[in-house]
Amino acid sequence: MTNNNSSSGIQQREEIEMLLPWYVTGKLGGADAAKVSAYLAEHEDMALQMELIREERGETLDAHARLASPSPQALDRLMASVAEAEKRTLRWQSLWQPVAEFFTAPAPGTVRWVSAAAAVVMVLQAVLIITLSVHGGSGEQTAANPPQTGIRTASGRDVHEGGVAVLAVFNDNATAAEITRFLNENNAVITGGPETGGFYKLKAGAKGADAKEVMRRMSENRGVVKLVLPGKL
Amino acid sequence: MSQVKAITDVFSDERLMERIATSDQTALRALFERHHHRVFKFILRLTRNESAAEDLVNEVFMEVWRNAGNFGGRSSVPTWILSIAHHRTVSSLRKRREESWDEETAGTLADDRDDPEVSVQKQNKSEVMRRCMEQLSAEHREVIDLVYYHEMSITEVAGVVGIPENTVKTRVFHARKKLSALLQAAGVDRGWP
Repeated sequence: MTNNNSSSGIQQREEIEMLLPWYVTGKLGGADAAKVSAYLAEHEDMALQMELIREERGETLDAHARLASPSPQALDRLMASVAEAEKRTLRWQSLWQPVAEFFTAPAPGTVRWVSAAAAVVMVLQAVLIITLSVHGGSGEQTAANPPQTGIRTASGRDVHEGGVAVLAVFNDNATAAEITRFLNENNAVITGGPETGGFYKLKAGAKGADAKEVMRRMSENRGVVKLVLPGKL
Repeated sequence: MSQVKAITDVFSDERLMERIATSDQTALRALFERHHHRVFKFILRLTRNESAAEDLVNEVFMEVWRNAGNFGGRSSVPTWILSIAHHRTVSSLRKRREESWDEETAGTLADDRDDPEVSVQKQNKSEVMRRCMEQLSAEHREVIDLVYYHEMSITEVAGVVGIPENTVKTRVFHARKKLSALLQAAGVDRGWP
């Protein structure tokens, strides 16, 4: 029991000794300060410790007072470092800004650039569609599955069983749409050509239709055809 | 400069930090004017090299400039700045290997300029004390300085050094014991421990 008391007494003393430096500087919290005060009141021998701590503190303050002072140029040096850092930041921002602006706020030049790219894509698409239309595309088109385009040819399923054979020269300015409409209006299909002189072979009109009447009707559309002549079946 | 003086007089450390976070260079000047002496001395006591201390002070305040927005106010501004100084200095010392940052090996440096007895005869007690304090390890000198010169609480010292509060108490206790041992070796018996 005595040993336990003695052991706890040493432990308590050490605990107080550990707090004393802050007690001397006045930086100890309320509860700890009260604990130290109570202990000091009962243990007068601790006055020596207090004296040693004051001595250490005095020497520490004295040692600091003897230290050199920082250079008077220290502030200028810091501000120069700050200016250099800011310059670096601005340089980086100037490099990054055009990229950021491209994605956040497109400039007129950027819009032109994007529009031009889109136009190229559209032209390529158009070329591809026309190529597929005219040449049959992927090769999977058959008589049972003809290309779904406007211009009617003899390879399509609506090949005439009868009709009038004619030779026609299309106007150079006629568009594909106009030619398609022309063929539909005259119930005609292209069976061959173009041949020398730009002649296309057509079969037009219903079975047993009057050849002259068919040719007359076709010849009336001068915007699409330049010439319509009798052909051979 | 008068603007810096005015702002130094008017604004608290916390307000200055808010302004620095918005890239206010005048506020940085004011904070520097207010604290750079303490920071310089804190670092110089550890490095013992004025030029290195100047460089480190510059690095510390550049870090303040860059990271003012991250100051959360969990500690006081001086504690925050000294914690930056502590980490920068420890890192620098480790790189330079000019001084061990190991408590086990530190504090064992013998001062062979004079025999202890001769030393006591030649110098007064105060000078011996100062020399013995210089022989403490950097870790011990640091906590002694933070308590006695910077007058920091246990919590604040823990914040600067980055160790638990109980470790702060035991480290200061061991530093004081080591000082007594060094004084004893130099012929000065303090009667403790």
